[in-house]
Amino acid sequence: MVVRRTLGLSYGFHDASAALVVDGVLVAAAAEERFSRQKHDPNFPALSVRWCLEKAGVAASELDAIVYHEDPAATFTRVLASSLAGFPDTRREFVAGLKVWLGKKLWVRNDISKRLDVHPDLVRTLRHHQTHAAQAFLGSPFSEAAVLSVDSVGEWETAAITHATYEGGRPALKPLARAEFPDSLGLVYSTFTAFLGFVPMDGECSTMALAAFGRPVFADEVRKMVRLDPEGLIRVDQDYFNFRNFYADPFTPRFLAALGGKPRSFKDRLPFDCLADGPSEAPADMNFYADVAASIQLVFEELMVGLAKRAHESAGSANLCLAGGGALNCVANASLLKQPWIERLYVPPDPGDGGASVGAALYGDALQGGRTPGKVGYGPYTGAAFDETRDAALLPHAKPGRYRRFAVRGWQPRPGETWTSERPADFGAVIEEAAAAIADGKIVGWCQGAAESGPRALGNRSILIRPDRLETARRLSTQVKLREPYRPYALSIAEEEAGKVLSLTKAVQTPHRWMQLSAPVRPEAQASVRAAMHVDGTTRPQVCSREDNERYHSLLKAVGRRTGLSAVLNTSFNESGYPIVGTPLEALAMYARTAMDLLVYNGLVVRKT
Amino acid sequence: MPTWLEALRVKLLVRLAWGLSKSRYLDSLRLFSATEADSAWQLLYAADKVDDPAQRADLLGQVLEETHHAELFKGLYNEDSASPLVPAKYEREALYWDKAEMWKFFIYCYVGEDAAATRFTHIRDAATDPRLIKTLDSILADEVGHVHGAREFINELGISEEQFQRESGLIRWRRRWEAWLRTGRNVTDLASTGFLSAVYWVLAPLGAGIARRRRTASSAGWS
Ligand SMILES: [Fe+2]
Ligand SMILES: [Fe+2]
Ligand SMILES: [Fe+2]
Repeated sequence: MVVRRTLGLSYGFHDASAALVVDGVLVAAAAEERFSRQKHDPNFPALSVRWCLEKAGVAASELDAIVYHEDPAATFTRVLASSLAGFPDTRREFVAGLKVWLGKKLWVRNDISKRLDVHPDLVRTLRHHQTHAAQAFLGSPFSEAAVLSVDSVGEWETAAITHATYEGGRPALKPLARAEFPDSLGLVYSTFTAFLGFVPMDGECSTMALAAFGRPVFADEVRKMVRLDPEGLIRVDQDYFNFRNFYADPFTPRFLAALGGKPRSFKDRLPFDCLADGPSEAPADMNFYADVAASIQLVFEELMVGLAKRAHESAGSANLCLAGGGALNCVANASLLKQPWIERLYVPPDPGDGGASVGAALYGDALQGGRTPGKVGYGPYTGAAFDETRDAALLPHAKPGRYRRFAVRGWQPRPGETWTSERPADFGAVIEEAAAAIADGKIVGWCQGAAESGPRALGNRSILIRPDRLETARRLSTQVKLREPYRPYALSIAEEEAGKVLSLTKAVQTPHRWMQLSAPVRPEAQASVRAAMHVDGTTRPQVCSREDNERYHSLLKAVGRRTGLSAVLNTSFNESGYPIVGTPLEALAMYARTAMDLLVYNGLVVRKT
Repeated sequence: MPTWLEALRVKLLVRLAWGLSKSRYLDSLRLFSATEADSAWQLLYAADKVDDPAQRADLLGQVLEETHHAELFKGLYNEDSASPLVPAKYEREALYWDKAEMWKFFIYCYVGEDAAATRFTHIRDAATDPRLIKTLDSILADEVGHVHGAREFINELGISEEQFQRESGLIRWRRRWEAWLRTGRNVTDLASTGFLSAVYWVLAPLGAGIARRRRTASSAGWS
């Protein structure tokens, strides 16, 4: 029997990651940030590669192919061309770009071959949007689909439409249309993100969240900046933008004039609260930013629908797959599902660059050995799992009193607080304890088995509370997550009860299982999930079935037996600015610093007394 | 470098470079924050290689401390900066990968903490900004504790005085060598900046026109 082992790699821009596929099956995938503890870590994913290989018991010398997510030479021509085209204002970009590219990035093949001690010929490269298309299509249940990928920029492509099919037992990804730098919808969204005082390539979710508080009064202005283009998919009026010099100075005078305001300083508080009822009473200047956010979000949705329509028509398919950072916009994704011409939608667990290594590995594997359509999908639980036994032994030596001074702003432990821990013999008891604590209004850290890949915590690295308790949610925001009040929380709900709470136009689709789509909450159910709902009456649900995640599903049901609804508010197990925790020790470090009441790590239960 | 010379060098940095350029000051804070975060990571990694539960509990405390230090520097940065701190990201390299070598890690900690404490003391003595002084005072108190803590750890591991002296000597040389390499890299970097800037002013005017029209074809499959 021939065994094929293919390693996928994505790094060099942001969210570096590695993935390992053995004979068509994704056996490991993780972002480097989970190991390096640096959010969006772009460096060579040495630690995740090491982990992937260890997990599968594969030596680097046994790899059949190592597939890199982009064509470095093509990206280099773009970097070079864009810094030249901006002459004479781009000396810094030119110098910095040439230094990293000539010094390192251009020689990816050699770099990888040296680091892994493999022959350079084993290292193959794909086009970045081809990788995105593979990432979206090869995990999907479809045998053919239209694929739309939208991000900031790959080599030159900033968006692409691909018709994905199978030919002769191999996937065939046929490019139909593309947009090219500097016509980038992703960079337009990121420019607005920067204008709103968030960090671009990181704070886009804040832009989306803020949008719910505003009115799209600038939509017409935004429509002048970016529009659909019959030739190149997307056309961006470059007078408004400065993509060639994006990090140094993203706003042009024309852009500022169109919005008629100045960029928000990150120090100005945004007085919007998801948990407050009725309109937020914000000063006019802050309403301005909410209106700007609402405007770019609306136009982004319109354009995504337009692009999806193009994809649907040119590929002649009622199945749509999405990938690229643009597919992280769960509100826009939901607006796609509303379109009657899309029957089925698929968004992979990590559609952004963090999941590009998965696309690279799956595609590389399929090019070597073929692939059966829709047969082997992959879920979000492909990350690292850790044993908690040694940390249970550590607990009697922990000194919560000593950790007091590291407590997050907004929380102080009670004097004399200690930690107690237990390891119930059967897991049912662990679930009952956690469910009782959640029902009782406690904040529960919940870590089980393999970590999720991608930015969403889906019940294996989550913090959970009752979804109807606003007070607990406020405590969670101010004493655990240090989360800005305008950012909504998400909801996990057992599949059997999803219909009671969510009003879905189409049946539950895979993306609903992984929080890839927002969904309206039924008016009569709003009070029961208010803490996990945005001001516009929507939530970002994880509809969880027993097959998706058995332990988590059991927990939801246990909560349901106590509260009448098998649902929890679910937020990722991390502090703001840090990656989601991996090991028990990392979970304990956050537990020590925050007002989290109960920590469950596999079978270990820790509480503060 | 003798202590007085190092103190003078730091004083020049703090009074002159930081005084003249806020961005240099912010760059330094960003670097300090990243260094503290890297210490936290090294300790997390080390904790994974240590079995004694009491020692692991101590390491957890130290991880929290180093993380706290990283945040203190981040706080200072954000107070004075127009945009929020985007942390520097290092390619993580564990100082020692093998469990059998973990004793060397703690000696490295001892040497590193000692050096950091000395450096921060110099900065503190040269600083004029009361916020910076206050932050450094609180960090320094911890770092001195870390120096002692690391020494205790080494004793608990049963490392002989002779072994300790020899290894810490080696580590000091290694650190000097790394510092020397860094200086070398900085000099090369400066030179290449000069060279590439010249290239830009000479060639970019010619390339700009072509670049504005340049497009590349997409290919299918892999290469
Ligand atoms: Fe991408
Ligand atoms: Fe420190
Ligand atoms: Fe320290």
